Amino acid sequence: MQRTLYTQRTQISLSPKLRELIDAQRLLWQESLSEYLRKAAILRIALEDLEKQDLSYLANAVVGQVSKKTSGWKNIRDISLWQKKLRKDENKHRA
Amino acid sequence: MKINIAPEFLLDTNVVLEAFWGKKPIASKVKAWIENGKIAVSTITIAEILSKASKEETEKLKLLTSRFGSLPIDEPTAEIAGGYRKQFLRKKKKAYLLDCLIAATAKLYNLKLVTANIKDYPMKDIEIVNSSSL
Repeated sequence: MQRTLYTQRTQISLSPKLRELIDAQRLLWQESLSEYLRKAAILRIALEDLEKQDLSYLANAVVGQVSKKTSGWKNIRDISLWQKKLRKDENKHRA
Repeated sequence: MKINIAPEFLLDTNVVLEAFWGKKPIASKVKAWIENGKIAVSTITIAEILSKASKEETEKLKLLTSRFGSLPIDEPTAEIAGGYRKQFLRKKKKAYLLDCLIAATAKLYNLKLVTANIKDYPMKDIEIVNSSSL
């Protein structure tokens, strides 16, 4: 790997336990501490991108995808009023 | 894998349903909140929706909860809710127990409660977002 690829130098602090765990893993692959942590950061970025894609898919699959005509509330005009009455009724049962 | 996503908004039952139906403007807000992993729902909302939901609505709810889960009514929530109920029993404006439980969930998890029924939540120590005026 060319040194010129990595022009930003930084320092981080690790707990002794985390350092121990990283060392145990990186030695398996004969990687330097820096290389191991660079790969961990790249993996994290990739996972966050995947998470964003998943959430975007979920939002598209859920929002605006049910027709009121086929809804369980198709005969209910005011959903807020329905909720209010439902909770009022529950309150009476509990009183 | 879930990474660094913390909910910010507790959606009341009416808001979840209006989002399913694509009612503007709340639906587009909820969509953006889902994309940013910012929503949460109470188990009360799940029960209320399932009490009347069509098959399609049940499926959409399952999709949501499979990703975000739901916030339970546990002892700390019940303690806050009991306090709200007691507080407002003495006042002109009463608060229903289920509304108190929803509000307590918002309080416990430090969430903004999004609802169209803002008058049902007279609590002053939680932030209420009026879904009708977004």
